[in-house]
Amino acid sequence: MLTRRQILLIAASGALLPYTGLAAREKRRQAARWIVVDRRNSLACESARGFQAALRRTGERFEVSDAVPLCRAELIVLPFAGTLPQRQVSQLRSQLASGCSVIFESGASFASHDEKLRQRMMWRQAFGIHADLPPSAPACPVGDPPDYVRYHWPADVQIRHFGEFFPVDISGAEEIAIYREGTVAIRKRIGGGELLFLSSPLGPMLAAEDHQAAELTAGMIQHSMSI
Amino acid sequence: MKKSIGDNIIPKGMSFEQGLHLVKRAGYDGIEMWLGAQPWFQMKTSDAEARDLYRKIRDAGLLVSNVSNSLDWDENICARDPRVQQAAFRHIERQLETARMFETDAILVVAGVVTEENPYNEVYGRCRDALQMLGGKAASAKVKIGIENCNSEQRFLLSPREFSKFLDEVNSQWVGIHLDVGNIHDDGFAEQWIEITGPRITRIHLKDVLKHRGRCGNQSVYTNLFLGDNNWVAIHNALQKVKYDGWLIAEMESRYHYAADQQFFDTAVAMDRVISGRL
Repeated sequence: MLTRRQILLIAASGALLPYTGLAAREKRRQAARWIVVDRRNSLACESARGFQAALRRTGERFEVSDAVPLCRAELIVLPFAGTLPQRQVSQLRSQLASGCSVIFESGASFASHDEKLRQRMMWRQAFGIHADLPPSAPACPVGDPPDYVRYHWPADVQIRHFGEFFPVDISGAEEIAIYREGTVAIRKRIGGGELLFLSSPLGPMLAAEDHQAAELTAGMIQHSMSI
Repeated sequence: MKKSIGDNIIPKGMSFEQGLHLVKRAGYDGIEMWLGAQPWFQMKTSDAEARDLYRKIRDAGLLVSNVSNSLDWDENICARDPRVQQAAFRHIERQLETARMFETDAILVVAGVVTEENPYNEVYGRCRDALQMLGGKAASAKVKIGIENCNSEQRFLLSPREFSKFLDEVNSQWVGIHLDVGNIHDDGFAEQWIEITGPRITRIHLKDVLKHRGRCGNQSVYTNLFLGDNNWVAIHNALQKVKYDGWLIAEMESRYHYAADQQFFDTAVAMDRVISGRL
């Protein structure tokens, strides 16, 4: 018996086929969950490993790709994402419009000043998200105690801050995490879908087996099912 | 979080009742009872005597945070000699029994002491097997066994990841870690131990440590809170992160040379600062 969601997935691929062997093969080819990773970036790969572990725990199939999928997806995770080509951005917007959940983890930490500016522009143009540059003083100077990003959705947890701090404007969105008084993660409805924008990386903490990071991500994945 | 301090710090010449009175006046909520450390609480202490100790504790307005022991260093569950190992089982079982009498739900055990004669892999396997057995007894008593990290003294389970793996292998929800934030020395950072072992922490010992100083003669590497090298802001933040809301227990190895009672008061105030984060 096909669920409504499965029927929609098949329909979105171009043809509503009867539930034959061909349709089943088609369904297997089209994973509903994707991790889109820039394999040239070691930190993106580390973060992707963390998200892979989180998705594996759900027991659902997922695909790892270097490009935003063309077929309709339920969830797309972009770990430590840098500046995406325009075609990828359009595809991502199209996925959001048709009801996909996107977890977009900023890859601006450790980037050059010019690259930070490019990424901020992409966030604004692609998602309407405005973010400041990190404060000039490092958030965690060497010798300072570690500090935590405080998430209050979908779980009340604290995750070690990682990299640099990009304060995010919450206009038209809902704040889900703060770091030292500033918003660092939001959720925003775009079309029929939802974007979770994380300006402080979460994936490396997943890769480091932080229990609370795992709990938080499980909640995000669970939520993506309800969009 | 609640504050406690061990009965083993009650100065010589002071009775148990006088010690309890001092602990209460200094602002603690409870007392840690050390089996084998003081004349009033030994293996030969009967059930009736133990109940009388608890009555005195309650009369003083205190609770028992946990039951520890000072016997593991001579009678350890990792011992090759089965008689010594059996003695270790007996005193741990007595801790479980008295914990129930004292209406607390945690005991402290030092599991494993690696020596030249008793090597690491032997100690590891013997401790794991012993704790799997003791975990069943702890479950029956509904009292958790907290394995203390005495890193440098034990030369065993030297990292939080290895400690967690060891607990995975013991595989009992009744066996966790009694974390001592002063015992980590140069081998790591207390806040990272808190983060990694968080949900498995049964109790926490507080003391400070002078890193880069090995034990020398009768000099201690341990010192009073805020005089050592622990990062107390980081420790406070990590406790908040893992939502630890249990007992903090002062364990002062270095004692005041004069005005011994003052150490109780100073330590209690310092613990309040750790709890509130006013650091």
